[in-house]
Amino acid sequence: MEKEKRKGGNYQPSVYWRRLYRQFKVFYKSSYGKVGFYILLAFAVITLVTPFVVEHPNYAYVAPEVDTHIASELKQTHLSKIVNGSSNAVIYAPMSTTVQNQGTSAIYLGSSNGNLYCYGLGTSKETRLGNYSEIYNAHLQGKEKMLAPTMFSLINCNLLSIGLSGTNLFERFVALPISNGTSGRVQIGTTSFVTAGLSKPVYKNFTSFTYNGTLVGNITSNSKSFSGTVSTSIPSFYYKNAGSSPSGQIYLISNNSTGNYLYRYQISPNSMLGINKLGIKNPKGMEYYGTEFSPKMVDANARILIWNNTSINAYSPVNGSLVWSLNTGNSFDKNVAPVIPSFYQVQYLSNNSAYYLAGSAVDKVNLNTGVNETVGKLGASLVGLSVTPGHSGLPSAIIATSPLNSYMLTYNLSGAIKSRITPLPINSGLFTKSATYDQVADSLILVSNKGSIISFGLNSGSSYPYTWSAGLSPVPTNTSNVLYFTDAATGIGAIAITANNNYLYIYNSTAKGCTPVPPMAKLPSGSNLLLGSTQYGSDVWARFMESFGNDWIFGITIGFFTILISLAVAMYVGYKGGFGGEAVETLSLALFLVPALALLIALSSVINSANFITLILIVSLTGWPFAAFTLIGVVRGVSARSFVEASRLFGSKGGSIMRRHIMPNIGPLLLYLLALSVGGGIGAVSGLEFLGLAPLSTATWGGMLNAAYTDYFVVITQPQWILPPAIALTMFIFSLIFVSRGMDEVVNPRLRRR
Amino acid sequence: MNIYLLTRKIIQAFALVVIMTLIIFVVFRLMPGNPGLLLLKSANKSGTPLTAKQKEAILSTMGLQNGKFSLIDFQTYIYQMFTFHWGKDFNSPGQYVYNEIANALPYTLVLIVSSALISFAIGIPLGIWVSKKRGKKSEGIILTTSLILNSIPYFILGVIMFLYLAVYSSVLPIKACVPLNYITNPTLSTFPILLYHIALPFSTLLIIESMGHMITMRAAMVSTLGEDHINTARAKGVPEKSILRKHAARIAVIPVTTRLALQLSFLISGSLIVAIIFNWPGMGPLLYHAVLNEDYPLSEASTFIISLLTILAYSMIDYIHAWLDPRIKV
Repeated sequence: MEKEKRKGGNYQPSVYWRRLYRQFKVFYKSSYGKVGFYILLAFAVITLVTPFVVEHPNYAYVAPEVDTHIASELKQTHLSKIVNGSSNAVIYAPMSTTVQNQGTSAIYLGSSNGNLYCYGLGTSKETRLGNYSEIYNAHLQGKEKMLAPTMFSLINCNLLSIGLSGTNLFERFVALPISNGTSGRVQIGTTSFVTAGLSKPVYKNFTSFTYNGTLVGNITSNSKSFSGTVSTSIPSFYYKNAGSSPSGQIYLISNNSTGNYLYRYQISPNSMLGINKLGIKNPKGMEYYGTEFSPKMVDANARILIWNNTSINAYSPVNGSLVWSLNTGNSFDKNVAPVIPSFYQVQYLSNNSAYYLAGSAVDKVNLNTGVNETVGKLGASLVGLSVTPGHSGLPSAIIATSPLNSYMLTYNLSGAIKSRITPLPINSGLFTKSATYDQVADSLILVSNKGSIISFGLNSGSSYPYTWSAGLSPVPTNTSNVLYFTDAATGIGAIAITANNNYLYIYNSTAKGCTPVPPMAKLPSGSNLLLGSTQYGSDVWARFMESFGNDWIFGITIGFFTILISLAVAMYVGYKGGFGGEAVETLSLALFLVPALALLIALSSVINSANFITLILIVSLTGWPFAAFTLIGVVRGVSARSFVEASRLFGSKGGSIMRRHIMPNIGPLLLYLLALSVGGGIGAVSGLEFLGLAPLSTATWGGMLNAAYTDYFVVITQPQWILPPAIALTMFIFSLIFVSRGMDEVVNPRLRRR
Repeated sequence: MNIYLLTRKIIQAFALVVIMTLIIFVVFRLMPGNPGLLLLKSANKSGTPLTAKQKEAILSTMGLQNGKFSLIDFQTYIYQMFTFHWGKDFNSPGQYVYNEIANALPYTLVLIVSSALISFAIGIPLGIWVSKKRGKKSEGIILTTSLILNSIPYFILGVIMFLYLAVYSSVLPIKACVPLNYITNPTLSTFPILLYHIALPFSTLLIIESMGHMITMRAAMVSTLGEDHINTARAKGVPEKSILRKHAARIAVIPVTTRLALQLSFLISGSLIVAIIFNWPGMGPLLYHAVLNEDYPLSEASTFIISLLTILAYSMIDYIHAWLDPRIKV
């Protein structure tokens, strides 16, 4: 007996295989089974070749962000009216100082023919986006020409104290330098909205003064505002408080035959504080440091930085005397202004420094003492430098650009510097201008002379630091500095740039509304997007291809779990029976009757907070009763057969009967149910993902179809987003159903073709 | 009327309802977070801080005073569920959950009942017609098409129909929404409007459901037509039409009723997702948004009502099925 048993045991696999082969032949004869089998085979082959047909395996199947995250352009306007009649009129950089959100419902533009314009950003009739109107005309005479104006935010304190209402709300000062060749005057006025952003602002002349010679660089002020996150402190807020303390000062450098002079002028009460002759030759620019050091007039620690070809010099704004001078030698790049992290304007610290370029190195100079130090030697000739605001001491990142690369220097905890090189987009031009900091997205926005815009994400952990990019079109040959502001109409961050082709460009600063890349697009980086990209910048083709593998995994794991659970239940109910069996059957019927979708939706909060294993478990735990019911009937039928009874009489145990007698008889049925459960499992997971109730981070067809549910109207224009996954998902599910039909013919001989 | 059968079915339905109630109790308490504490937090935020007594009162009305799983909570839960005292909506204050469900339920019922009945009325004659074509070339095409249509997930068919019929060609409305009294008190003038708006969700359900019925009916017809009594009838010279209609179809319809009972849960799931896709203001969107907004009373009550409905319908179909088919023993 024992011998025979062992012999039987050895013989068993062969019988199984032979039977399986016979059953496969029957299955293969069924045309449904054949078609389904081949479709599944094709799906398996596609899954295996996916890594070879998807282009960017390094990016985990997501296209490089710089190619696809294109910021949506809010507005692009050719300022034809401004330049009308005088073809060489220059439009200067856009100005607007962020005091209150409402105050930015206009951008101010100065032009060399002596006008000041406001460009509407609001929603009302007069300040609607795209409307621009003249608010000041200097009535230039003779050789007079307006130079780049400077705007600074001096909110009217008296109005602030009575509760931010009434006329002259959101007042700021603008200094308009008007040169007539050998001398010039500075017209100082205020612009304000009569009511917050509802009508166009009004310009009022305030005061003016004259200077002798030609203006060097831009006018600067001790109340220059910056877009930091210090929203409560308004630069020079304290100055204008009644007549007790005088108002803000403006500074300019003028050059004439006798030398260079620093003009220090006080706006209110208006007086010339002093004209100091500078000891240095050929000054190139000027920067104010310490706008908010103290609520009094000018702090002793404040500095005016003036630089020329070979040196950086610090002057005291109190009396105009030289405090320190640093000889930087010939390597200093005079065209790139030293950069002061904007938070250094808020609080005096003894180690506050300005950063500057010295040939191929980034250096810094202590603003208090004038002692310099090399921050990093980068080994390439650099053309541009930008720093982050430096919220807590050292700036978190220093970005230097060479014609080909960008270098991001970061301090680590011990103060050591680390650099990271990222290639700039090809043919993007030179990034010489200092970047603007976007506090919403925590990024630095750089613009090149050829109008290429790059947003440098500072907290992105990805291998590619550029969070979005844009190219100005039509392509200019030179651009202004970038103005960052918060759009009053939408509340989002935005940037404005003017270019020498007399265009004003306004872009959304966070690339939330990306423009999808069309299919078959060839990107600047050289990669191809076969099906284009989604509005989130992911490569549709790569996502689609990767879904093959993921859906297989989902389907097969859910199918196996479902079959395992239902087999266990069926064996218990069908073979064991009794009261326990009845109870389990009723339980599974109840679970079956509670609509699975309702349960899945309810459980989706568990899924979303957990991983995919939970999702697989939940779908299998809610989906097993259907297979269980089919199995229960068959197991019952088989266990009632005489050979089972005979085996039981011979003393076989339950486990052995199940394994040796019941299992072989339900084998093909199990495969049939497995095919159905795999299809059902994929359907359920895809349904949840379609509704956005399961995590969408992994590429699956259901997740791709989610686009159709969340935004129908984007999908209308982009059918390539949903057609491939919809077709693939349907094909996959019905090929499984075809396979199950084929299996059905194995199980039910009556269905076979006559 | 078989009184034993009826009693048995009623007992089974009762057991099912009890187990279903337990399942919902467990599932909703598996969800992360505690709705009671959530409500207390929002109540604290809005006004004066609550006293300990008030907190206790709020938690006990929600059945959550001893954590999530306790006997006293279960009692409160059972009481609330079966007396339909579901309390107030978390997200739209002042709204009673009962009213919200009462407003949404007719929409779902009209969708489910109409699609179940009409799919039955379409699927069975189609199945008989296709069974006549056994062995012909057209059979393969019809069967393959119906299999594909039956295996498309509800949401894919829904999206395709929505895009083609509502968006590209705008034959049918984008937002399927009619006033409640169009459903509860239909008149001759409002009925076409109702039809126009329900067309998309209804036809999505109808296509998938009737194709399933057709396939089952055809399979049952084929196996019945191979049986001895059909051969006998043929030998007697009974006309083929009569054999199909009177001898075969009557028997073959029984598996379809079984399928209808088993399919009911899928149909109701489908009606939920279809209603979500087409903005049909039924139970689907109600449950979906309730879960997304962590609105516990609303989501719990709507799941309960949907399940209760399914069990009642299942028991009814099961009873009718057992009553129709004398072979099914009590």
